[in-house]
Amino acid sequence: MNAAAPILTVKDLSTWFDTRAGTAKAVDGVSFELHAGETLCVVGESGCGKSITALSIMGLIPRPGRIVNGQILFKELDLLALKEREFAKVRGNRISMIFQDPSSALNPVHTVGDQIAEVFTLHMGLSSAEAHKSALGVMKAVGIPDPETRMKAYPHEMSGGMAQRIMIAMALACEPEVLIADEPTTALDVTIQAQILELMRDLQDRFETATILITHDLGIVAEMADRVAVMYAGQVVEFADVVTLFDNPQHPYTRALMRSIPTIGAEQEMLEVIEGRVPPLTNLPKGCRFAPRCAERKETPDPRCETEAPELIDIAAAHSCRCWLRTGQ
Amino acid sequence: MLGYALRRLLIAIPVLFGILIVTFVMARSIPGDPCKAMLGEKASAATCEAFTQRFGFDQPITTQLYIYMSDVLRGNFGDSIRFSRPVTQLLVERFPMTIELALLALIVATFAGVTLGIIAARKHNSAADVTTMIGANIGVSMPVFWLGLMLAYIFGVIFKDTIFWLPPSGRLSAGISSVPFYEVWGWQLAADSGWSKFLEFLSNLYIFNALVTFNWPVFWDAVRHMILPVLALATIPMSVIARMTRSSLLDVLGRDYVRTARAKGLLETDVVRKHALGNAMLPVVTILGLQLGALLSGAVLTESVFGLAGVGRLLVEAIFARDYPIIQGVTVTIAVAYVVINLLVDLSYSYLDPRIRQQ
Repeated sequence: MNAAAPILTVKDLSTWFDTRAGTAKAVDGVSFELHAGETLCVVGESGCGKSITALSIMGLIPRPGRIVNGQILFKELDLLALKEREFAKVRGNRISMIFQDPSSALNPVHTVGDQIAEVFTLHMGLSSAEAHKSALGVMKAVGIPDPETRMKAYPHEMSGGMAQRIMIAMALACEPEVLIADEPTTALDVTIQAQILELMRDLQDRFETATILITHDLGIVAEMADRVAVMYAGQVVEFADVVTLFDNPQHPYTRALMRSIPTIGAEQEMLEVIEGRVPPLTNLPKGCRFAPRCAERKETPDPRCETEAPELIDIAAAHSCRCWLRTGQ
Repeated sequence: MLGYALRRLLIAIPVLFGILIVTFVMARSIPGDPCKAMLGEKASAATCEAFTQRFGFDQPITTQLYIYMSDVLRGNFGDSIRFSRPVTQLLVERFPMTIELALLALIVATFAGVTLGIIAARKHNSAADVTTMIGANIGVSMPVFWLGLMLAYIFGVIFKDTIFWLPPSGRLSAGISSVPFYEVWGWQLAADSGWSKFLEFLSNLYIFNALVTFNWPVFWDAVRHMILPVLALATIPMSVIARMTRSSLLDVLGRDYVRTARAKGLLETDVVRKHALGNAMLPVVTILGLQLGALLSGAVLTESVFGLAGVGRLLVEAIFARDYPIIQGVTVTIAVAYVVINLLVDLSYSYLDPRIRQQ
């Protein structure tokens, strides 16, 4: 699979926010490749830079954020070098995105049919009538019952699951090559979550869309991912295919995450938690960013953990890790 | 939708009754005696007696209120004490001028205010934003009468004999008169019917009248006379609308659905036009309704400064003369206008926001 040229290459991406408290390094040197048809999961807790990575690829960094370094290559295009007008042609067309809370991500004053049809008029130059017909088609494809009536509905008249289907329909309207889903099921009921994930997998198979799925739910990772990037404090700390990651997690943070999953049937008194907090992005530790919370460091201390920042280094084929304890010879 | 409008109109009825009673009481609470105000300090007791009897001021106040209310319900505001003419007729003559002034000011204020607000929000924290907002703050702090006098002085006096000169007073230049459209078209009007009063009312909207009769000289003259009063009157609402548009749009531009619109690949101009503006206009429309009320009261000052014979000046003069029927008639008319405008604003919400439509 990896032999073919990647669809999307992110190289050394850094997105920083200048705030009063200092520069917040929300994304700091993130690199990965995405291949056709695969699902890359990006995991990490809130504020680790998952969403900002996604928004950087979309070119939608909110102010005062700015991309200070790096390269984002989408097939033949260097996205960061594109003019806004050119970039807009890619957005929602060849790369599209689904957001976390569908009820707030849809415009309350337009019907959902109009909102989907807009994508067709915009990127395919269809007339309004043709666009609405195509919108009806994708609404059927994402499993909306009675789409003819639903087209004229407003977002507030729909359930969260329905609204997320509309978002997916909108994102997949132009059959994009890359789909970025930013916690698409977090705001939904558990039963609806499963349906939405099922739908995404179906559609991915049908359109061969490469997907970046951002989540903090390891259950979703296990179910959906081909490869996984674990992020912590703006950096990728471990990168592996999904089986390796679950069987043989290397980074102390990944291991701690795994231990914090409740296991059904297992005799467990308390869920394990990771002590401490994510360091403030304006004031990161000098050495490894996870060092202050790292439990393994107490057993096998390494002086470099607190003084030198570790690099993301290959520890096996297609498995890399950012930790002195694993890579530091 | 229609049911909602009807329901709202029904709710307005007790409000209007309240307005009638309050204006009736308030007009009579102005210290001073109508007789003395009208006939002079030296009017004898006997003369005043006759005067009071003639206008029914000797009756108990409840009786006066009863008579007044029953008259008003028949569409009769009574006769002015000072002019000895029906108040309705005075309103037909004077109100169009005020409406013209207030509407033009509202249109100018809305267009300029919304445009400035959009510019400020799109260029948030830039020099354009700061300049616009400082300008808006200055605009909102300038008293109407002072701004009016300054405008009259600058354009009427300093620019005299230049092409920038604008007439500082009156509605039309000397020698130009507005011919009512029904006379131009040769309509025969039944004297004193409600319909002919209405047509007369319309024809007193000079700019409208000149437009429908294609009388361009009168049109331009009327417009030129309106420029300064409209500028004076529009400045405050324009500033308020600009600030409201800016803050509302800034709020909306940070919403998730605007991010969705951007993610669809819309250019920023279209994001603002198609997705942000509709949502951002809701609070602005509320302000608009309230501002039109403020415009009617601001018109009182503007009309005085620019020597315009509108309803505002009529009211001020009536208060000095203790001309109760006029005070009541004008106040009630303005209050009704206010109620109707707010009803229209509420109805427009349901047009702008589908979430309200279904309730």
